[in-house]
Amino acid sequence: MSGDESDPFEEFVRDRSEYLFQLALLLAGRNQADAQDLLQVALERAWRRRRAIVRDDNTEAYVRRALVNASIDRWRWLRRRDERSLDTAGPGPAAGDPASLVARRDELIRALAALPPRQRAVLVLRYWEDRPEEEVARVLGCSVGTVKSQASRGLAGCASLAETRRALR
Amino acid sequence: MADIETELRDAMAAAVAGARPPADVMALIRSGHRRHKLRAAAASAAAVAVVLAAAAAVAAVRAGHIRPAEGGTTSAPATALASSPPAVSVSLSPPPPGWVRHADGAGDFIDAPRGWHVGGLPALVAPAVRWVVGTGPVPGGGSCAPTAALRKLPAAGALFAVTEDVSVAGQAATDEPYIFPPRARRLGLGPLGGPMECWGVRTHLVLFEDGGRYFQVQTVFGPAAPASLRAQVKRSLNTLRIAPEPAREQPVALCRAGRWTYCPQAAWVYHVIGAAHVIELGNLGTHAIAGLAGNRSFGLWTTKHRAGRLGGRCHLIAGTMVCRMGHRLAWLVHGLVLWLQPAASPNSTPPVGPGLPSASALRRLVEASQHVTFAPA
Repeated sequence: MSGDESDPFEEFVRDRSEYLFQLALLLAGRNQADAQDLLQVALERAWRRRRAIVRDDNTEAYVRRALVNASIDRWRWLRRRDERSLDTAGPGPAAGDPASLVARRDELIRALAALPPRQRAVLVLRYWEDRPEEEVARVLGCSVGTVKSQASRGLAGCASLAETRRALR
Repeated sequence: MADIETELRDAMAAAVAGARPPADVMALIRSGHRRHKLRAAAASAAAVAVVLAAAAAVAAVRAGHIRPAEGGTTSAPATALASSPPAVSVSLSPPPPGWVRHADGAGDFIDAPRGWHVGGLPALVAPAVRWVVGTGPVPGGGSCAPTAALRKLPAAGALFAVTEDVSVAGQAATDEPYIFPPRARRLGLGPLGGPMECWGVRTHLVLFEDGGRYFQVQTVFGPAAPASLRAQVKRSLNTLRIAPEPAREQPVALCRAGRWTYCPQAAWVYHVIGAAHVIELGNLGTHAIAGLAGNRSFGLWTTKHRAGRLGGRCHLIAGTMVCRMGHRLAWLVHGLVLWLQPAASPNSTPPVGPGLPSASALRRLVEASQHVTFAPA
């Protein structure tokens, strides 16, 4: 592949990499390094199949799915090794911090990062990307019912974890 | 529930607002792909070389030309597990008379005799060629080696390139940091080997770590180069000054931050793989190292051994209980649990499939893990 300006895959990367990086960041629990890894893995996979996916005009859907799968794969590695990223395992806002909006959001994002990756992916696709349940189900390769139950559990988990963190402060 | 939905939506939007990916994502993709291909090609070449060497050795033994060696050899390079030498001090004073300092503006520099040429960097992004120094002209050009400069190498001249192993994000590479030994007090040219990947000719090669960064220097001499030129090249090489990475980017800090491939345990696994004559395919993110035996690729990593025995069904292999848990194998060695699991290596050429190693390759890995000492830093 040449560095031709009109290459549709390169155009896609130029136009959408910022958005996809933000998606990766949420899927990675706000860990910048992991988000970069996820984005690179997903885009490399897409690049190897670029002719087919550009021809079928489904580049973004392909990359989104690759990102979600990569984030779940990564979590499996970490779980096997009983590891947690320091970025997400660190202390929350300082105890003296008022229960401000910023602190509350921070707790929620930390809670989101602590969810199992499939639940996290459902919440990110459903509420950050505002995708309908049917589309989320297609990306994750599961039923709409599963998306609904995962979203419900994910939201409950987020609320509960955020409350627990706040109570501990 | 609607409240938490709205709150979460807002929190996510705020959390990623303004977050930007690395500067040139396409360059990351291309060089990542290129590295995979180069590594796979090297792995294939190594596999062929091992097979040919084994065949040649068998033929020689059968013909009675040589006796079998008592122990196997390994191509594993020296590593940072060796005791670190004292810190290298490079003079910050001006270059000697008749020499010129070539600085990169970011704190790195090298001195070379006046009349030598510096420049002509190849296109490769990662690893990045930092300096190309030659006694003759050093034109730019070359995809991953200074091939244009190499073509212009005078018969009595020398050419060397200093390459830094960086990730495509511009940080220290996540793979193999521990195969780079600490910089020696006096850098030599290293052994002559090859033909080297990208260069296509035999070069001297020396690897070293300096300031938390990882370098290799490759040097070529023309066929009529005088011996005195070797000394001059070494002298120039030893003026190389490397600005250290910030402490938080250095391996110890990264290891503590959960990036296992920066840990001494990863260095030990690289050694084990080398000693077992298993092909090393790089790593799987920052969490495991990929190995290849036959056409089966797998990941290897370690965890601390907590109290108790491993679960699963266990079998004695080379005197060690190797336990199978699902599709994973694990055994205890040197106070660590060494894990092995099938892992895809999608970029390998020819294609390989994820799988557990054969019984003989597993035995070699178990034996190598027993024999290669683990010495935490």
